[in-house]
Amino acid sequence: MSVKNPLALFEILEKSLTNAQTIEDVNQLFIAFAKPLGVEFFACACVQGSYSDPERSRMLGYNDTDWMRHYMDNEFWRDDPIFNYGKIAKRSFTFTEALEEFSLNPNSRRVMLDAEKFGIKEGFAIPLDSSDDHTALFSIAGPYFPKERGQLHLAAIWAHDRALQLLEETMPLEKIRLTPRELEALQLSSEGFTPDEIADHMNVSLGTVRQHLKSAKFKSKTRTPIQLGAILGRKQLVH
Amino acid sequence: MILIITPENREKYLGYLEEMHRIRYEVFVERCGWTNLENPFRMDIDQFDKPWVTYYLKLAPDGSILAGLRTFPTSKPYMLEELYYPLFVDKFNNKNLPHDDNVWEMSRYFVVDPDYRTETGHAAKMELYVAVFEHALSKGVTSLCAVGETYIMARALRLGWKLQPLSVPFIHKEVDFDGEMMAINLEVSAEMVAATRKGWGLMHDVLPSTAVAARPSGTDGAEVALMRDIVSEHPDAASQLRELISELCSECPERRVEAEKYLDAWIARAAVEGHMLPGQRKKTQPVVN
Repeated sequence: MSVKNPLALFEILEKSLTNAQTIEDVNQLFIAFAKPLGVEFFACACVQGSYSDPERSRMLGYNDTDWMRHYMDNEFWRDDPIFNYGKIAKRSFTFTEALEEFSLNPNSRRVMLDAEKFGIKEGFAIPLDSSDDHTALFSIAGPYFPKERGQLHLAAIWAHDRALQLLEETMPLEKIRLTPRELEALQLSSEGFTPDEIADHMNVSLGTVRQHLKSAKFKSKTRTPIQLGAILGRKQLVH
Repeated sequence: MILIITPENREKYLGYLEEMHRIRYEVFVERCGWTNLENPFRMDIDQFDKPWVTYYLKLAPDGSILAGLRTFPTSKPYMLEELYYPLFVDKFNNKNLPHDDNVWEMSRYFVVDPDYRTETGHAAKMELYVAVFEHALSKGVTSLCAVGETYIMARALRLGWKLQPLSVPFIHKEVDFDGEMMAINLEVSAEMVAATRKGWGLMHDVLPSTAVAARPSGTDGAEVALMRDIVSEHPDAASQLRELISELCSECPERRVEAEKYLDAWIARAAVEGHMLPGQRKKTQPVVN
């Protein structure tokens, strides 16, 4: 009698992830794995530590979608009950469990109602505590609760780790030549200061701060500050 | 400093093992509330604490125990297969469950004070795991399996550990425990030991430079386990047996010798009642030093 291997799908994905060369490869592999299981949405973002501002922390996910644009345009991360519960959770949790833990205010209620309008009704999220200064939240959802929660959970852990590896591997330190002011702006940003606060601290204009951060990203060929932070943090340029 | 108690040197360090069993009781029963481990001897000794087990104890400079865990080959009955797999059959790929002298299981990890730091600023668990990995590597072990909280897996991967899941995550919920767990197999290699040391910034030797002084004891875990079984059927014997353990640990050699005679009588009674497993207890000589 053949017995079903409850890890079969994940084992295929795990092998493929080792061959992923870019973040986009990881994204595509996860999509190919998760879509047949009913996953219509996923996102992985840093929620604690360097670059925990969600606007700048996205690592993986369907970033270029109507829902993500709507989410970011409305700054939903401020009131998103899933995101906020993910900051304190020590295990995966369903959206229903998070809503039971949080008393919803009108803003957080709006986040969930709008999500439903975009077809995101049921799902779960996984906190990923990679180090003392990096916790990410991997959120997986669809119109119905996705199938194979256990394998999706493992896939999230391994995809997130592969993404971090790639962020670290893709940029040799010697090719990143930041000016002291760029490094200072980056350091403050990594500590959670907003661009306005950084401008005050450095006694420069907001535009200059944005230019410093933009220049740092350009020089490192990274798309988001968390990618840059992962590289520079590993190289101990940003502590 | 990590004391490694192996099947070969356990007689020399029975006193440490006795203290470890008491601390495990304090940690798991009194602190974590695992009421199913309660027993009148206030020592945590389960069916996997056998003579073939290797124990790793993080010792303070004064010799007190700060943390510990145990390992043994999966060619013996082991927790993951005996306890977890039957509870969560549909979560495991049973074809991957190991049965190998060179694949060991890690279990019963405990830390007395999670906030404790060594002089070098390292948590007790860091020295403990480095000792386990280095010792396992020296013994030809190829991998270590364990059941652990799913939450820590991202951190393990970040350290460069090669993990093979043996199960998908499962919720282990009992009256006094509620955690999201998974079973894993961790590849042991010189590279992973080096990566772990580098990741934790731990470059000093974790083993003692000179042999740790012997700490004998009149009791052995197998004997206490046997007495616990007797008490489960004869609750009225609990106070007598507790007193017997106290006498076996007495500093007075004569009292220990006398207690040994009573112990032998209890063991003979247990054998008549079918409690003693063949080979479970080695006949010990009274300690008179």
